[in-house]
Amino acid sequence: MVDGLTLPLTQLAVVFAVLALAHWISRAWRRGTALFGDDVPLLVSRLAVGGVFAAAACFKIMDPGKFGESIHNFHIVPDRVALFIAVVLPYVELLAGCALLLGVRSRAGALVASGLLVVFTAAVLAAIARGIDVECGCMGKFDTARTNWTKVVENGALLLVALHVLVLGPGRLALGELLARLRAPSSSVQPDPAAEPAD
Amino acid sequence: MSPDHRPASWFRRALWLCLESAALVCVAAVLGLAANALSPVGLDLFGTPPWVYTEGAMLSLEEAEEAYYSGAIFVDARTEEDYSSGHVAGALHVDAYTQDAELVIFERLGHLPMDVPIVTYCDDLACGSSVHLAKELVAFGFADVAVLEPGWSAWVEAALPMSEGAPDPGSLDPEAF
Repeated sequence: MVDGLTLPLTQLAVVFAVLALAHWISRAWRRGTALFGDDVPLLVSRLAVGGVFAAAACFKIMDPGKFGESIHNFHIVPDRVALFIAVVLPYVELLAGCALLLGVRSRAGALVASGLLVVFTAAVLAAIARGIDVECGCMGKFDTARTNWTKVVENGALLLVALHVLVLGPGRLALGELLARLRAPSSSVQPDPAAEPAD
Repeated sequence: MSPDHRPASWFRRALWLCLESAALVCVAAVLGLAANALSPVGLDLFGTPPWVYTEGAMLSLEEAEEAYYSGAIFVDARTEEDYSSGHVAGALHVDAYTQDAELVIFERLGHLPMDVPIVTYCDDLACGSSVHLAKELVAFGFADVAVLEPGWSAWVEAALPMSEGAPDPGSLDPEAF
């Protein structure tokens, strides 16, 4: 019924991971000046991870009962804890997603997103190791895929994209950077090496 | 904390980043709890979780076998694909997460008396759709609905009666619903 709407998430995640990696490598190769500059690749990475997190959050917020059931099915946390996670986690994803999409506090968003991806991957690996066949519930009812190695690849790829933003920063095509520039007009006259993303 | 034009130490920046992230999580937690309290689909954080089945019995394999031979109706809660490739012999099929479960239940089980013993099942111990469907059946009006806790995989392992084939679409006219 929702088969037609199932998102090709894994393929997309891998494509974005390859793009982020290409930028990262080209940047290291040419000592800080990547082929397309830093801003566009970082914008792409931010939008990719932010978009996935914000969308996943919305699907979960629409049906917290179903999400709680998904958490329960992993048999990792007690029921009471699963209830709290079902209520709070979607909003953590939503805020991290929005921070990345808008480019406000994007590094914090990227750190939270990376942390969540590590936890999700651990949960999926634990399910695989114990041979539990569960629906991952990652994207609510739009992702009824069973937890398997595809999910691990997908999370790994997204993690790489999130780390790309975490390490290199949001780039200049971000709302937060623009606001900082407006607030400190004197320092924005000439490019400030200290404000550049450092690695 | 540190103005943008002054380079902060690596350690201070990392610490600041961790604090910002912790703040983000805290704000999200408050937002989530507040939204849950206001939402019409909010969860009762201190009540019984919606996935725990309290309306009827959770059966072991032995209990389910006994119920099977004394004429209980088995209902498969898995997907149609899973059902077609193998199910409890004589079991009916209602996908637990189908859009209009109530209508499908009417079509396929509507001819049964409301007090007939029913047993739902899904894949294994970890699946939740059998409980989900059992709750739908109780809401529909069936009085005696139990769940086979260890699920289809235990049934297969014990080599109890099985069959294959697509589900019976049901004989009742949906118009009469």
